[in-house]
Amino acid sequence: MGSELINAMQISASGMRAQGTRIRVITENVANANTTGQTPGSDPYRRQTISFKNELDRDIGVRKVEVNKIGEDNETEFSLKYIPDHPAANEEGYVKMPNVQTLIEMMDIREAQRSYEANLGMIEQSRSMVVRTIDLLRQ
Amino acid sequence: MTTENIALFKALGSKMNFLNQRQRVISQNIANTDTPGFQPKDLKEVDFGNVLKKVTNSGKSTVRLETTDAGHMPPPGDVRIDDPRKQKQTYELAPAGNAVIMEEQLIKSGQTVMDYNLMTNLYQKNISMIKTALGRQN
Repeated sequence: MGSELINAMQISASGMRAQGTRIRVITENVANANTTGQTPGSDPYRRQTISFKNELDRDIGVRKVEVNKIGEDNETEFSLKYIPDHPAANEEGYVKMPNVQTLIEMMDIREAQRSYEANLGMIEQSRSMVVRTIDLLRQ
Repeated sequence: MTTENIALFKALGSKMNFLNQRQRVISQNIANTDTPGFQPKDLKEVDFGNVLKKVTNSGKSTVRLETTDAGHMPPPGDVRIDDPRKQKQTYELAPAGNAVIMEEQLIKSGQTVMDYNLMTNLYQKNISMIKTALGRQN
């Protein structure tokens, strides 16, 4: 009977792990929001994206969350900034800046945080149910 | 004799089992709030009042089939908890095809925990009633 609740906790833990990875990826993006290339005309840092998938854990027979893929954002264009004396500046003096938009990253990190907290709350609740069950023994 | 043989305890036990499974399903939904294309699931409500009635009425038939495998059919009067089903009606769908509403799931989980507490309280009360009948001071 208790194993269902333990499984529930493991599912929530997998969700927290996935959101943790997401927060790491977003932090990398924000930290590299100004990382340019080194040689003239070279590409700067490319924004990373992350997606999740639902995967069956055969050991315990439940469907957990896992990180599907950490990919690169090839859709958004790099912006150009006029810095003539920069090592990565092209002939016209423009430097390619990363396609990271900190506003979007901040929104993503909030969403990740919210999901993380929800999972944490679920662990707390499952735990309280286990505690109630054990309390039946002690009167 | 175990408390399992008492109809009320049996009903309480099956309801607790149901709530455990429901909690697991809700955990799964919440863990997948950001998984593309994920549809939330829920367990079908079981009418435990009906179950209790059946259990109490069939008090005379003490010989019953034992279910030892998940594939076995439960004897009449027993609770069968169906596999979680996809929720047909959801409030909204995210662009990535995810239909989990966090608030809805949290309310459900809160409900599950409250019901569970109710069950454990009832269990304790009944045990102490039996103890009183046995003449032990508690």
